[in-house]
Amino acid sequence: MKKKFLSVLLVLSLVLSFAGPAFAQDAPAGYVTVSVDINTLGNGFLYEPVQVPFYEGESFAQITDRLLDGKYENSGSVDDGTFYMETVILPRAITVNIPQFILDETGPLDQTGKAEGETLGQFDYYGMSGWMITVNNTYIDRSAGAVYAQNGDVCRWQFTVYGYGADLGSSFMSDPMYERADKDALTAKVAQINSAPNKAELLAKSGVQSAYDAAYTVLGNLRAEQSAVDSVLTALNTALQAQPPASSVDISIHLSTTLDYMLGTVPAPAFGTGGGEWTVLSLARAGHAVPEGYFEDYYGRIEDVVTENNGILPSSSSKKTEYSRLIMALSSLGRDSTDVGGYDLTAWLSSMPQVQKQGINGPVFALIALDTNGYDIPDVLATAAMTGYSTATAADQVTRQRLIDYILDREIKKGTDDAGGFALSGTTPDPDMTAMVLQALAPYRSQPAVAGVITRAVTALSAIQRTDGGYASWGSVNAESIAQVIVALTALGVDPATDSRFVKEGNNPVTALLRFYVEGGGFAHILGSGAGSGVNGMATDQSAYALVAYDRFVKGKNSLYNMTDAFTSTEEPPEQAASIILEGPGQITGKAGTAFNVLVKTKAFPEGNFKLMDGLLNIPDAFSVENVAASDRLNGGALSWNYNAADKKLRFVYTNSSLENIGISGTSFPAELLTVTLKLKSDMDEASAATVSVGGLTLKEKSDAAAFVFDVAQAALSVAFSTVGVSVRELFTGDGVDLIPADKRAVAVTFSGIPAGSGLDYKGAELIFSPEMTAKQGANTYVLFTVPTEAAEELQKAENYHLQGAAASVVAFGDTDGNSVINAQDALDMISAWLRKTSVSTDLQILTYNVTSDARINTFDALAILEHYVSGAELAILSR
Amino acid sequence: MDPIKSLRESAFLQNKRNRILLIAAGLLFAAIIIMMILLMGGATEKLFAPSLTLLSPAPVAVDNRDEINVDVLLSDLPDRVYPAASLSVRFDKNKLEFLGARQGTMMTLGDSTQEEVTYNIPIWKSDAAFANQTGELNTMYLDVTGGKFAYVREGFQKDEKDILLRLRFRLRDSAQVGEIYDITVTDAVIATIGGAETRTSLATAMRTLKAYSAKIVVQ
Amino acid sequence: MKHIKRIACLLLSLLLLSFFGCGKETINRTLQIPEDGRVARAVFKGIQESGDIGIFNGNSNDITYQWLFMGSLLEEPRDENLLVTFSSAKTQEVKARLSAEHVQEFSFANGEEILGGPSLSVYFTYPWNADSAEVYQYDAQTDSLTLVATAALENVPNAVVTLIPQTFKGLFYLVGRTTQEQSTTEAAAGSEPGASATALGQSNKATDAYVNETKKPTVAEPATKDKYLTDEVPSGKPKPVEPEDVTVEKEKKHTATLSIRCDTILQNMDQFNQDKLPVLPKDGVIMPTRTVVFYEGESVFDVLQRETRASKIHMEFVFTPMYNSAYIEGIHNLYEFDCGSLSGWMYKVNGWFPNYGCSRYVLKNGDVIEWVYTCDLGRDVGGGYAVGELP
Repeated sequence: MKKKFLSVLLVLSLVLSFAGPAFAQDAPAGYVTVSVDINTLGNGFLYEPVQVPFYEGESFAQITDRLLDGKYENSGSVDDGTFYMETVILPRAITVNIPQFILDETGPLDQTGKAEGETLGQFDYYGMSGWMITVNNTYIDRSAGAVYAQNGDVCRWQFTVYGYGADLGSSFMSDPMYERADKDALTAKVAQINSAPNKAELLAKSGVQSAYDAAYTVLGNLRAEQSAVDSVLTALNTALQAQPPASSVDISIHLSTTLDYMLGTVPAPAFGTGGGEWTVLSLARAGHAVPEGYFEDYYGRIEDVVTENNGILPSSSSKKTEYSRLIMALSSLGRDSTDVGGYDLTAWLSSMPQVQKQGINGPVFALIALDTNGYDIPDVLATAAMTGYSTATAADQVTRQRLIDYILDREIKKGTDDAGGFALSGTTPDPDMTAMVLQALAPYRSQPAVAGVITRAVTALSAIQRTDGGYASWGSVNAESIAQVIVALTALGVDPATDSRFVKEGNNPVTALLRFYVEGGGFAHILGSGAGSGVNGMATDQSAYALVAYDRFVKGKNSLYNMTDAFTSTEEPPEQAASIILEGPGQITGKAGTAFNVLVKTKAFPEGNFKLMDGLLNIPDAFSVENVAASDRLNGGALSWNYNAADKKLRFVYTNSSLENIGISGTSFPAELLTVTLKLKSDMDEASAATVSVGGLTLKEKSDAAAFVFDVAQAALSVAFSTVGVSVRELFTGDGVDLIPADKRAVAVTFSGIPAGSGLDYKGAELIFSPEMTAKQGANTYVLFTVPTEAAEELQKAENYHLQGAAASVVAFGDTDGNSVINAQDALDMISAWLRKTSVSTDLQILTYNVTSDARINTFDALAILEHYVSGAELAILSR
Repeated sequence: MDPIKSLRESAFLQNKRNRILLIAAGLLFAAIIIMMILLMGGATEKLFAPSLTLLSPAPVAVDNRDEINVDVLLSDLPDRVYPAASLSVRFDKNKLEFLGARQGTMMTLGDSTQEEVTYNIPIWKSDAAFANQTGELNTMYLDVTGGKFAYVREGFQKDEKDILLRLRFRLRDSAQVGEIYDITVTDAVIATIGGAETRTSLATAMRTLKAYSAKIVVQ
Repeated sequence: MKHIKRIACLLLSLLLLSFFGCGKETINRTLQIPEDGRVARAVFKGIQESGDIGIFNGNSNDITYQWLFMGSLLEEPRDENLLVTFSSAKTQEVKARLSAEHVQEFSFANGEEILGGPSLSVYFTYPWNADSAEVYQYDAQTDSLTLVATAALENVPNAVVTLIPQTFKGLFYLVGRTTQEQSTTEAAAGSEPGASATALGQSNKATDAYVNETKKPTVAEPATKDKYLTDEVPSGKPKPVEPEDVTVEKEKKHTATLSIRCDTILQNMDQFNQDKLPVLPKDGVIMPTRTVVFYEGESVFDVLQRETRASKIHMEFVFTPMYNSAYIEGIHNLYEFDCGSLSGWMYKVNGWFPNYGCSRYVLKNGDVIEWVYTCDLGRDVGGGYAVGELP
């Protein structure tokens, strides 16, 4: 029995040991690159580089045998170290054209070709000829049967004519004739393409075929330099890795928030580079809703400036671009620049010496301005009286062709092979200047000379583009340069997001520009966290109209600067301006002593050197003023206030003693200015109501200068009284897309007259207490989850809420892991919930996660946590 | 016939000495296995809490306004995927100016559209202006894809790729000779998905990460 | 012979080892305290020789601690045991005895003195409800608690206590104190609060300043936000100051020198706007160098405006919000672009061209202000290039 048992074991193991390798035989142990070339005969590859599999323990002799399919003659055996390749049976006919440098050594040789099927081997053409093999760029000194393959090896069979490899650059048996480059990597890459199942597709990719052909050329050149080999490899790799053209980039959110931001920070545009023409142009060309009178008031200010200065715009004596800019803005509004307050602004662009005084910028912008509405150029002499060009002669007359010629003349390295691009000075193409020239020349590209300049300039822009898709100018990578390039490309009908010349490693100018976008709207001048980062006016203006240009391009509208459409269409919708609103409970408990907060907020805050803010509130008799506090967003001053019960006015002043500027921090609006704490003086019944309103709110620069007056028309708060005050505010309603069900609606309910944190329910649903919201409102605030159809009147009825014995659950917004710290773990929790890797099920969780207070729990919430953590930004759900 | 019985009756095992040797060998074997299990499983995790050390810079001359680098060094990174990390550091805002965070040497996963795995050195977000206002710098790295660009063990290597990020400071004019400023970690976390419940995140708040603070000495 | 060879080899390898061993440890300034607490003499020698600092991080029972050694204070480096053990054997008792809310017991490794007067920082994981801390030593023989030193306490927000240990034997206690409480000494063992002061007084200037530093009232400095496109200001050069952040103090007067020149035009007459010939000074000097008086806090622009007004020299500027500064368009009726498209006005102070507007350069006593007209974007006046402005 024992014997039987043992014998069974033995048999089993024997079988298995055979089966083992048998299984292993099916799967290759790896892949190697193999090629066979006859470059010393000047005829390229006999077997082009391919990737072939090899099996465990195979040698290069065995691999080659498989590749050549036996079409060769050897001495020794394929299976061991005696293998020696004597001749190869030609798979195709060859022609022989031995390179001269080899013939210099050998003397003249018979260069007759051979037919397919004939052999090519040692001693052919010359006595020292034969086949040599490299593995990983080393000429092996043993039989190919004794060198075993490893994954990734590159094996090249090469025919040598002279010197036992000296003509191949090998030092194997004699001095090499030259230093040979390492072509293994390039060969492997070509092999990869050749062996790819989708070889045709790969070669069809933009740029791949040409790089592939270049690779073959280099591989066929015995004496190719390493640098040439490397650069071809790089080109091939780049072409292969190039992403397929992306579809257009979605910029809608960035554009609309930025335009809103611009409206907020430039409530009253006036003549000037900043807070002026560019802002107006961006808003107008985008068709963005602006407050009523926004553009009209601007035009009024322009008229004033023009007429007050008799048509001579400020700072224009040396810069006629002041006129160009103004004309461009007026055209965007559909206003005729030939009659502004009776003055023809285009006349100032009629003198060449005047226009070109400041260099190339003059003619560039003159051309753009005139072409916004196809303006004819006035006669320089006829308008001399108005323009003040008293010394002008007929020879000074500006014509479009003269402007074009001036610009063409200033092409960098004009007339040479390296011509292309433009700059203010020097010979390095500057992206901004080159782009602006393209913007001016775009309408003239049918002119042959212009077409050439445009082509070269576009090539130059493509060449200086960075791999992140952006541009650097004056030493720094910045948004403005990218913006100008986008405007230029769209003007030429080139899609900046998909044109292969402007897609670098998957990045294009549009995606590059969006990197400068600052959350909430606006663009930074440079990236990073040092000087110059953060929203910048000039960067925002330029980025805004660049996005508008791109948007118009994608939607097939007129280009940015072709404003003829503005003169025919009209658009009107009004929206918000710098108006003041009051926020507070709509209803409070009618008991004497009830206190509540009224928040004074503004929808916009102008930019300026304001030193003082003052105003007054009308406080009804029913209330006494307990306290007035300035919000954290106001900075630069201190608040003082006084309530005069006699005339029921609360007056306040926010300023500082040293007349420093006051202002507001942050970019989210409406922004809080003040918190006024009022107290009910005596019991009030339900029939009464009291209204708090803002009588006026102004900002002052100097005691005599014009102040900025806020619009207080809507700044009123009506407070009703009830036994228990309830005021309801919408927070968010889910849309079913990202984790918040479509029927989940969250409202914030503020109560007066209830002990803090006590348990409450509404028609069976438990309310969640928010200490953060309570602190902000000055009264207990809870969050209730209900259905979208629940009527507001029902929610406002105090009777529907019932006190519970147990304390309410408490929400800490953003603290998803409940450790009282909001950090990366919480941000990650939001992302993992959105990725459905973790679950968010309870109402409390939804409330904790949805810090953006929108309809979904997604990456925006995580990003909000990031902003909150890094920059102290208030979570949106608290500022609702 | 029963093979076990035949084994027992075999001549080899009849010898007492052999039996004893066999048992001894068996016990030794078992002991080794147990030790290995203990060393590799469970126990290692608990003993091992990585540490995050802020590296103090060389003493700074009082009139030196060059950048002062405080590297944030991690001692080890367990084999997991960490798509987010944050660090809060308290510093004396009246004596030091925070300039921002710079990338370290620890790498995250890179662009996964490539065939091979590539690595990136990520950039952390920080707000120098806010930090200088409050005296606490908060910096965070967040991979919004939840893993494609996460920190992984392969991106960490002791003494070579172990600097998480670099904090840059500068002395303010109010610095005086002989002063010593604390650069104190108040909160640090290198987070995994669901890491709060499973305690797999490295967090000072959870005691799964130790933090050592630094000092800047003015000469 | 063999033996000698062997010994020689051994000695040589030991030498090499120590050499390398030494070298390696001086590179890292921050070191982890090993489990047995022992830190070799070589490490301290390295710190002493380099004049650098040594930071040693340790951890005991979830409390991390850190030693700070100053190279300049190390006199005779030797092996030290830096292990600190935190315990709680008598914590409750001490809390009662000293009626303190926060007490932490600790002890040093050997009870031996650690040389070099290092400071020890202890990092807790929770805040202390106290303003300062004291260090008490427990004497088992007399069963007494003696105040031996005061320590600095900061809640950042978790408590960090820093002390300079003077004695090392036995059990010690860190005790949190609020300012109303008086430090109490238990037995009349002759240790007054004064002793702690002298103990500290013996310590060197560096650590003294540190202890005092935490008690100084903090003065907030305005954080300068630079959003006006200013590039990095080279180190050693004054940073821009926003005009709205500055208070001009009329009581404090200083002097500076001011000059305004346009001689580069004379070398570029072919580009010069001939209409402006009448206003071009023949020697290119619009204002020769003169001493001017200015008030503390004033900027280069303030001085230019005042002086040109006083001397009835034309000066035109436009305030550019983008750069938060005035931009000088013309002086003496010579405007930008009057000498070619690369021409305009630039200013330098003490020979340096600031890369920000003149309203943002706050002057100091003795500054040399020069306004120069360039015809080549600054290159002809030694100023690199000026930032080009878009229309």
